[in-house]
Amino acid sequence: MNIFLYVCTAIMFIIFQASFLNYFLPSYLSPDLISVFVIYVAMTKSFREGVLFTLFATYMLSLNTSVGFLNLSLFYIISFAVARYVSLNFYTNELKYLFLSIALPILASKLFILFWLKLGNIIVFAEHFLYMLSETLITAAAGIIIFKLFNLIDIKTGQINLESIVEE
Amino acid sequence: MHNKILGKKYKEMIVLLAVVLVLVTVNATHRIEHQLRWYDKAIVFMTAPVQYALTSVIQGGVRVVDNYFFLVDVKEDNEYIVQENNILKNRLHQLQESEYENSRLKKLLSFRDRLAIPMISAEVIAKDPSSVFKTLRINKGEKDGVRISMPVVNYNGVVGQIIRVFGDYSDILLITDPNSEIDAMVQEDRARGVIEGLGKDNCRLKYLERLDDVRVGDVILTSGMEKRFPKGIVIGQVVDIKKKRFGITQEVTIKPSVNFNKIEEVFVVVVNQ
Repeated sequence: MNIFLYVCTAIMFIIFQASFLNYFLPSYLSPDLISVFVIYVAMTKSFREGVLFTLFATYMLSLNTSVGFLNLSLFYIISFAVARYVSLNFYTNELKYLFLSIALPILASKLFILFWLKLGNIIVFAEHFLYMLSETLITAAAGIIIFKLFNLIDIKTGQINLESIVEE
Repeated sequence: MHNKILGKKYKEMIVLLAVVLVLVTVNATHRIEHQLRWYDKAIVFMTAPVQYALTSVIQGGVRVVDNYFFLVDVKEDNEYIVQENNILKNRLHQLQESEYENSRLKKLLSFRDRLAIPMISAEVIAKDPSSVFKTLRINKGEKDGVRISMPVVNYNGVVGQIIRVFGDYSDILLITDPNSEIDAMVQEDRARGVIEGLGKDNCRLKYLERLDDVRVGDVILTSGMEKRFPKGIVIGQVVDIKKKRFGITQEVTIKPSVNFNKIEEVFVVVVNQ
């Protein structure tokens, strides 16, 4: 995909999430599309491009949520960094790898959010964690489909694909 | 060679995280309600109509299915009765509130006066894309008289407050958002505390003293102390209380009276800024 398509995808993901998914589904059953986007650019784009796309998606998201751009960027940079680390070190072409490589960065980032929010008492934290786990698993499952779709577009348009990051 | 590349990448990553961390620390001192820049407004100006259209199509589709395929009249009657019931409940709470106030000979506004508070009705056009943070976007903005910090209510009680205003749209920070704090009081005991969102469907009442006589089922109202929310609007009900053997406060969980999952219309209360 070219830059324009990435930008459009990020915007459409946010609109779709805010208007469609959150209308029909409770948040713990709704996939986090922006995380999928960030993990995809972390795994397929160069470091600088990936960071820029992540910051762009974060900025767009900050206009739709209560958290400021800088705080949000920290959450998604964590996702980006974990996804990048996983893809650089443990890449295989298996489906379970793909599932884990989407789930782990999301979990890391969301755990950070919980600690950051200092949702002090353990019961609240446990409830949040269950919600978060459910959201992570659903996002990872949806992410596999979205990744395959993105990769297909990338291959068709001759852009970078999943393997290229390891060879970089 | 490969290790060199990897080493460089990790260094870049560490530098990036360090920079973001420093910026976040600086940013943490700022308030959530910030003035928007022209490009923020331009982006929302372009994206919000798409959100609005998408939500309208979805809501329209759901309504068509609901109203035309299943029990048209019964559905309408039921909705009317539920709405009426909610209004009456809210009136009842406010009347009780007036009684409490009268009994202590306070000179406050009467119930009728409260209803006379000017309000701007608005439709919800989008919800927060994240799962922990809770905001709503509505189809009324600066042009309609909406301003930052204005309270937002519906028939059931407090919804939240305005945190961002664009030309035709604005964003509401819901009371369930972890960044939200509202001064509140227990209707029966008159004990005061601060309602804080928990990022889920519930809130907690902070700074309530340990000896305050609060019980499950007690109604929580806005206190009016912070001069933002009018006094006596229902926030929710106490669903859980945890008292420790030590400490000076107790932990009280509140279930908001508004169902945020089904919210479609809200009222922005016009208060003098």
